[in-house]
Amino acid sequence: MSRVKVRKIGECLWEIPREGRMNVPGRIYADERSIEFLKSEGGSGQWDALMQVRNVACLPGIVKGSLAMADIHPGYGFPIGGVGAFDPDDGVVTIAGVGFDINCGVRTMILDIPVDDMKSRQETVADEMFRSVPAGLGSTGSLRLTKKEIDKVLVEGARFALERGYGVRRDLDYIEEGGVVSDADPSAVSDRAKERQLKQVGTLGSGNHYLEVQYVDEIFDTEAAAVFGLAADSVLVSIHTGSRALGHQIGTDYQKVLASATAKYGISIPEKDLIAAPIGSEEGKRYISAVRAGINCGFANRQVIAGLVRDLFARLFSLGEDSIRNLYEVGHNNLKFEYHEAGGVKKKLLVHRKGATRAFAAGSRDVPEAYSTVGNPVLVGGTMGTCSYILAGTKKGMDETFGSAVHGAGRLKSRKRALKEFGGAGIIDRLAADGITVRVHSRKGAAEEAPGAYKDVDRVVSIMERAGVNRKIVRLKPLICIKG
Amino acid sequence: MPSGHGHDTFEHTADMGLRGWGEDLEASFREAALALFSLMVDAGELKPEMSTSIRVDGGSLEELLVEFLNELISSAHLKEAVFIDLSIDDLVLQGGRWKLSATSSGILTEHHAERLLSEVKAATYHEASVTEDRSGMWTVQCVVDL
Repeated sequence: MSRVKVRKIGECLWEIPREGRMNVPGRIYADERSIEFLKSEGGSGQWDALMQVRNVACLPGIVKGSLAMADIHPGYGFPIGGVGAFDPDDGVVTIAGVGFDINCGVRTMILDIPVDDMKSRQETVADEMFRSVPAGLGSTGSLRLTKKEIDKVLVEGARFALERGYGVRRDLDYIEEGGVVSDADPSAVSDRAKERQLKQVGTLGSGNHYLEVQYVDEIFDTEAAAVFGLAADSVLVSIHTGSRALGHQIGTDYQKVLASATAKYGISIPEKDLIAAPIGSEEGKRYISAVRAGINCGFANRQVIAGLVRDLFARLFSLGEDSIRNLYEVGHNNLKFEYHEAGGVKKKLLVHRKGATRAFAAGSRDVPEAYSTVGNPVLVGGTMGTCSYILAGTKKGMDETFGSAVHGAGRLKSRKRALKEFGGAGIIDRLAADGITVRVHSRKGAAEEAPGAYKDVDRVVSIMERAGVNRKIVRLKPLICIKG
Repeated sequence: MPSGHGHDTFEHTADMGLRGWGEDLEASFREAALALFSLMVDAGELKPEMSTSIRVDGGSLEELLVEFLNELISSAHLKEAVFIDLSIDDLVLQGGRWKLSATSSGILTEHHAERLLSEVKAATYHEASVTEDRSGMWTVQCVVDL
């Protein structure tokens, strides 16, 4: 049992009351069943996600609360599904709140074709997708870049890919931050990180990264769906990937920097995973700048893949430029300076989202104009073979969670247990029987990502809706899933 | 845990723990590296096609372990290879820092796509430990991000 005490303070909202070294309370979005699971998980040899929420609450300069979305599961220092906002004046930046896959996120595009056309050619389309997008360990992209060009990627983000002929100009209007963040300093990124990326731009990766063709299976809010350009049976294609080796290497390199900064500035941390630097310190500023470069690398990577996918579907279904439309792209492992209400005043804060998606409500800044009455689409991936959701944020969510949402179903079983339970060819055949075509680069990987290894995504999003911080717009059912 | 030397992986919800053990520090570090390789490749009877030397240092044995595994991850990637074997050439405490040099050998990814398993993003300090038990057996472990 977890040693952390929680109490219910609202519909699907639980609190770890502030005590001891905590600077703020912990807040967890969960229903009775999931909070019981979280309590039982702690201390049973598994890592204790509730303790991680409590530990994050002890970091200096944290504002309002240490938050966990409904897909919470144990991570390194921060729980996955964790959100923490810090005051730049006295707060810290921590590597645990970003992770190694900087700006991992989802891009979703709408294809103007009838779902039956897709279903009638599903196997061929799956084979073509599998061939068109490099994935899995050892894969390399079609771009061969020099270190100088990598520096451009780190500054220009998705714009770099667009200039190289991947995608169309309109795509960028429907990416978080327009597909590029400022103040990204390539000199804060090591030569080794850049070298590892020379052939990696435009690759999907492995693990839980995927390419998926889906269709709208259920509409919860017709008006908002229409604003997003979605109707029953709309066909979509989603890309889940991040900043690849460059992002991983930034994380690796800065583990050392932040470990020494923690000692140098005498930052009191409750466990070693939460190494941190003051936001205003040289080390902190340099890490933030490197992360911003990594964010741009993630944007560029998804834009290249989106370009490949666009070209493929244009060819297969004879579609013109306007028949493939970028719905949105949003990351879920990020660091962002944002303005939020805290203590009655609007303040600039450094928001860490580790496995949590930005969900800015109607009328917020940084939401594409066309979506200003709804908020940015929140792209929530299920797992291989299960449904995905498109959500939106709410005013209450802006106040309570700094405009954040879940990012996926949340892992329930370790990869080892999943492999034991779902190993072999069975899982792919079972999904095929349900009308879902799966292509995998590693069969072992497929078992590790089996639907049974994750929490039920329907329940996870319902918890957020019942709590009033996210709302469901549509549900998507998969037709084709390509795993790295 | 069996005697002699060996390695395995242990459960972690989101990722995977690696553990290596042996009758001395060198053997336990080598086993941890073999555990890392086992996540990335099903090498079977394949013979190495390349080799490279690795040098790392750390202020503590835990730091040395994490640095060592991260060096293996990025070195293999840069050489477009996955490692399948390793020998520790030297592991010493020198001027207050632990230093390790090793020779790692592997196969080229473009030749063996069907043998490749998962990318490993990084080794972390999560659950990182280096311990010696009463019988002199060393065990090293940490969690890696997949």
